[in-house]
Amino acid sequence: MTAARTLVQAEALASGLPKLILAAERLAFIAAPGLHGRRRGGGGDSFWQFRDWQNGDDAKRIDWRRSAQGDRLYFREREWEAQAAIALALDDTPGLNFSSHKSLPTKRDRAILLLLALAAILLRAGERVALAGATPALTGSLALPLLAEALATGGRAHTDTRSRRISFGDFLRPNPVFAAPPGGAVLQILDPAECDFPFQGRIVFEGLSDEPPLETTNAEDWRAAYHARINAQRQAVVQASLASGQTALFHRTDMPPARALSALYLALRRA
Amino acid sequence: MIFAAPLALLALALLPMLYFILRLTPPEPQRQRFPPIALLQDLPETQHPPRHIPPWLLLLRLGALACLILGLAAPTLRPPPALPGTGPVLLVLDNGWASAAAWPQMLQTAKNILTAARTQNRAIAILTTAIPAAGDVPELQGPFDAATALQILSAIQPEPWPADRKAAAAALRGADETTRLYISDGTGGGPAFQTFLTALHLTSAFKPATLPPLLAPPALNASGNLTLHAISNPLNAALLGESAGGDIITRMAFDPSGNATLDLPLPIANKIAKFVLDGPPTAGGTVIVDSSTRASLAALDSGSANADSPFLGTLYFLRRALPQTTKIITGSFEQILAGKPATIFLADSPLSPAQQALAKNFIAGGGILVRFAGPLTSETPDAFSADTLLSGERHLGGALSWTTPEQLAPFPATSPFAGLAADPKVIISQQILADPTTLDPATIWATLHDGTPLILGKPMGHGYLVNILTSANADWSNLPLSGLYPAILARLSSLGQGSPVNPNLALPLQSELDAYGTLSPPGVTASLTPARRGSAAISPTLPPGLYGNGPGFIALNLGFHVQPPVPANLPNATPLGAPAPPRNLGPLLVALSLALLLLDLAFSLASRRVLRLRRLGLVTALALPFTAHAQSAALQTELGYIVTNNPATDQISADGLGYLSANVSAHSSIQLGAPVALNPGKDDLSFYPLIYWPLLPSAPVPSPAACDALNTYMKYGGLLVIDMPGSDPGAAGSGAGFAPGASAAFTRATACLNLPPLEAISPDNVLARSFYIIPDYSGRFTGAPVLIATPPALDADGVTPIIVSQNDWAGAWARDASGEPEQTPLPGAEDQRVVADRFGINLVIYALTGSYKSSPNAAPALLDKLGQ
Repeated sequence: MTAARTLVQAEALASGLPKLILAAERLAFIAAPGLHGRRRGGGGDSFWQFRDWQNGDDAKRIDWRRSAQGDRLYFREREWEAQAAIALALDDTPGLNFSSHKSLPTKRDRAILLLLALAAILLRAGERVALAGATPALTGSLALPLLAEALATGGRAHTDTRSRRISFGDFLRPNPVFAAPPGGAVLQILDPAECDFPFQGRIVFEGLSDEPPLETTNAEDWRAAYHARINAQRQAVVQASLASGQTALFHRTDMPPARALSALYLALRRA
Repeated sequence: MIFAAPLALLALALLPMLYFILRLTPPEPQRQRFPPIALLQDLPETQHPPRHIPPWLLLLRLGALACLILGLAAPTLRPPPALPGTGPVLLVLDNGWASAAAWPQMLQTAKNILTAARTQNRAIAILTTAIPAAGDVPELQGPFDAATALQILSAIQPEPWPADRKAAAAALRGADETTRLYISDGTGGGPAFQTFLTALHLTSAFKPATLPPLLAPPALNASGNLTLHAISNPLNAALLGESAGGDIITRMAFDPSGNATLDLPLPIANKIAKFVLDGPPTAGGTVIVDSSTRASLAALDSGSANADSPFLGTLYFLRRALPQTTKIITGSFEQILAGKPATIFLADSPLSPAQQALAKNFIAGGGILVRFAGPLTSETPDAFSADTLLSGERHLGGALSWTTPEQLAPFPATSPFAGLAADPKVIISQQILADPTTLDPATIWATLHDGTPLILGKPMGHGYLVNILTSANADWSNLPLSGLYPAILARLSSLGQGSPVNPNLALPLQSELDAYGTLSPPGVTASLTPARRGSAAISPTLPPGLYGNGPGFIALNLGFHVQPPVPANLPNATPLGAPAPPRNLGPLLVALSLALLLLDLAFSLASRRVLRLRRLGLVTALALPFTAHAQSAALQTELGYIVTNNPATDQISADGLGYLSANVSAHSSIQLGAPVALNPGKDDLSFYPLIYWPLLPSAPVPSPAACDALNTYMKYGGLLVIDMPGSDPGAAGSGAGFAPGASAAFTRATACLNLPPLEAISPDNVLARSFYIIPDYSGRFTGAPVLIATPPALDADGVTPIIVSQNDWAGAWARDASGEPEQTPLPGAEDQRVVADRFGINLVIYALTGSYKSSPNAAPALLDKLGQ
């Protein structure tokens, strides 16, 4: 699935939830201290503080009036460049590229869709959104394509560890840990086959990241034990989330994505 | 059913082995990608017995292999013919001369019938229509059981004489079988055949595809060449000339009138013993050549210098009295011997001893040497003569003689001239004499009234030495002036060819011609006189063949002595062909085996999730109905035109739309392929943005399927352009009168279409604006109203589904291969064509883009609304 197509889907998903968008207008209050006071449409150039002009800084942003009062050149540093409001994070592992049936999206596709849809809602509400580790905090109508592009091609940017984080992924690693400021959320996305283990008969299981294959002559025999293990894993994710003050959410790729989006919104609102 | 390669069946023994191998081989495990594989580590493994191949898959594979082995064994199936009716069967079989050509097929058909009768357990009676032997009549044989009938059938042979339908009809009177099958030789006609058919009460009949061949007896034409005529030669076979030994000497084709002329050097031509038609040997296609039709070579020599002087020369009369067909050579004695003549006439020519030795050899080899007397040889006759001759000549009725010139006495019965009437007007006035003391009476062939020998003949070896004791010209007698002279010379020529010389002598049958044209020793005694040959009819009492004894013989051929073949009036007869071809089941079984193996492959792949069966079926179902046409149309935009019953109109449509497509491609970003001829109802119309329908006054009513297709096409966004090459007399436009009946044709052809209400197009319609701005809608004609759907009937894009015109647009667009216009626009010529070409581009743009160009039309109103 190309980035552009996902983007269109995400927009459609977001715009298909007008109530949610209206409610998202009020997402303003979830901001971290010091990041508020911005009004919609004014953004991008609000003054944050002066600092000394350094070689390589844009000369246009020197405050000449202030500089004329002394010997120093005062450089206008802008507030939004330094602070991110909400960081969205995709926990990208090879295992995400899996769907048990052609009619289902891969976990990765669903995660990106939900991520972008949430980003679209937040952007419309005037929030600043960053893709953790890939983009700085962005806002405005051009932000969403930039986020999508960063998801597709990757990117590198410093992310403020103070901003709240919403993590998307399958979190199948043993002993999951979520290091983020409290108030964020963790959305675990799993394929129905990973939850239900519907296999039977003689099957060779192959991992997606170079694990040695496992063969069973009768997959039904493993079902009960697997169910216990996957539930334990889900429980571990919930425990780890709560430990760091995150809201734990769960989504199956055969469920409607709008439901997950509503849950995300509610989780953000609760925080 | 039989197996052509039964050894392959041995491989069936492999099947049980395969069964065990397949049972022992477990199916391949399914492979499954699974991200949380780490969670599966160290789960307890329970042991299960190996899974067996499912029984249905085992059966499928065994069945595929069994089909393959059976198919490789090449089983063939002969469909048994079914006999009509019930009860005993009467089989009537023609076996006259005419059946020989198709005899194998006839016999095979008869055998098939007998085989079918055996399976149905029915008795068989057999009647053959030819008389088996002289004095016999055709008789019904049987009924027998099929096995006996088969033995009787295999003994039946075609006879060389005609089938006797009249006698066969008589034989049929007593038959009580109800199922009557007739295997005809294909000839019939005449009242006898009608009587026969009436008596037959036919159930079903079989007859050969062609008539039997029949050659007329050979004849000599005026130039002495042999000509042959084919009375019947259905396969147009060539003519082969065969020697007595069976070597093919020549091969000739018949001219359209069925004649062929032999043009070979005489010695070679005379080696030909019979002519046969190429193809299956038959008596009808064979003619035996006898000496009567063999051109002869006579050599003339004379001792006198002026031998050819008119009326005086020694050879003058001789040359003219010889039979017309005789070829004549002259020269010295040695020269003419080298020419290998049949007869040599020496007129008053002395022979040296060396020449006499040569002459003796010539006669011993079968030649005839005829010596006329004359002044040069009378004084010192040489010893080479039939009898000893006296020197000096005898004068009769001269001034110094008391006797009167003598007449001829009747010819002796032993003479070759027996039967010729002695002409009383013939008077011999001078001759030489044979020595009466040594005269052998057997050598006397003709005498005068007083008993004086006139012609002496003596057999030497195979030939004869003949002395005619008077001159060859009219000096010594008036014999050369009489009609007897040519007759005598003809008899002597016949003697040279070995022909029987007496036409009234009955000649016994020497060898008989069978139905296949082979000469064999006679089975019956029959005789024929040469005089009766012309009117002889072939029958068991007078079979075809060679008649004669000793060296002289005549041939009796079928041509002219049997009825020429006339097609039998059997309208429902089954043609005799090759026997029904056996059906080979091998390829079918191999194909079935491959299909089963493919099915097995599909199941195997499906069980490993490589292939999704449901999707495969869907793809196949989708792919099948699409034709190559549709594929090309789907890949490239093409215009379509509806083919008419008129090739010229279709050509104009193709050329016109072809030029239009090229023009549109050149002037816009649209790239059009070549136009496609369409048959509504057969071809899928949905790929074509525009379909041009040239409607001729002679257009038939479209089929219901075509109407449905066109209605669907118009309903779902197609643009159908109905164009007529002119209009009725008196109608509007310059095309009036070019297509009388156009309006009626339009009403008739569109009666089944769901046409929207139509109105005349306005000059500022989008069609006049969509690419070029054009003043009118001219084609080859101009001024006729162009009709489009009224605004409520336009589709969602504001495009009319139909345009009706009588301006013949394609006629204006059409260019030939060199780019020259094919038709002249009326009345405006090239200016009008420019408008027509531009309209064509507008039309295509309109069909492809709809009415978005109509906004400029609405611009004034929009500006008004905006208050500017």
